[in-house]
Amino acid sequence: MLDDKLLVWKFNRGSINALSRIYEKYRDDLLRLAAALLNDIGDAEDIVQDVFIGFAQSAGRFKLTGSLKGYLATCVANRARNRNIEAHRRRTDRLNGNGPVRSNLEKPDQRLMDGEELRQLNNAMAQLPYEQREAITLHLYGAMKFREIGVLQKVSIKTTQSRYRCGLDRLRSILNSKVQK
Amino acid sequence: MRLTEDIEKRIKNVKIVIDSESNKRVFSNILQAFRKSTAKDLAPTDQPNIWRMIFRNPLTKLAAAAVIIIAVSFFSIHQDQDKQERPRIGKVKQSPAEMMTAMSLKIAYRKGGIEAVEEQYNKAFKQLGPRPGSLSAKQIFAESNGI
Repeated sequence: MLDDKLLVWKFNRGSINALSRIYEKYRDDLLRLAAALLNDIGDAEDIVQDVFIGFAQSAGRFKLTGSLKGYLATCVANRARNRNIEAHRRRTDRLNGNGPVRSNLEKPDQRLMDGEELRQLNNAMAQLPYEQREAITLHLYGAMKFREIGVLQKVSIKTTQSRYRCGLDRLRSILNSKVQK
Repeated sequence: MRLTEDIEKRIKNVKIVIDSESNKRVFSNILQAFRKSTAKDLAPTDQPNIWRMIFRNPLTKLAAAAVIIIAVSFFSIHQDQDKQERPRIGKVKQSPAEMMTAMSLKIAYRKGGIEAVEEQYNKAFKQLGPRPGSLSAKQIFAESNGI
């Protein structure tokens, strides 16, 4: 936390080294978070890049009130939500217009190499309701507290905790059934 | 409980492999945005606004207010002391004869009216001290002239 404050202080004074350290420190967790929320590695990478570009543009006037990781994770979650809404709308439009439905699970220009384990987990995550997926990933990858997730999802802390627990139970059963198969 | 911990660990520890080339490209894009932003914010023509810096932080705001209050109170106290001290010095320097000149009486009248003139009279006589009733006119004039 103190380390982050110092990094942000240096970042606000134009330190490239501080920006680089922040990027290296949180890149992986944010990518995993975005990948789990979108179930698309390419989109995940785009979103993380956009979030970091937005963050870089705020240099000199960025004010850290909570945790930096929580802030970045919230940015990723918000963008992922918007992208999901957009994708859903596009899919509905295509279905209404009888256009071809294309899976976005794997893109040919995929830059991030996702392992088998990550793909399996993200496929299982994709079967969860979005709110449960968000609660799990923000808590585990974004290191956010349930109270903070509740604020983001506009629900009570109890609801967030229950979404998290239900999501984990469901995820476990999905993964176990795959192993048994 | 154990099962929950296991699945949490599994989610947390999932590996992500990043292509170093694409990583470099992404970071260079971020860096470009950062350089643009800092070049705009820290341009040499832009003078740092000290008041903006003070009012950005509540602590510095409070400190600035405290400094202003202390400076104002110190200045006003100093002014009061000057006001109190100045007439005293003037009075000490003046001899009873000087106090009783037409000019000084006129100045006293302008400052505080007839009361001030009366006060000046009293002070002049106080300085002369109690006089014996048998003083000659010559002695009175000699004393009031400060000789």
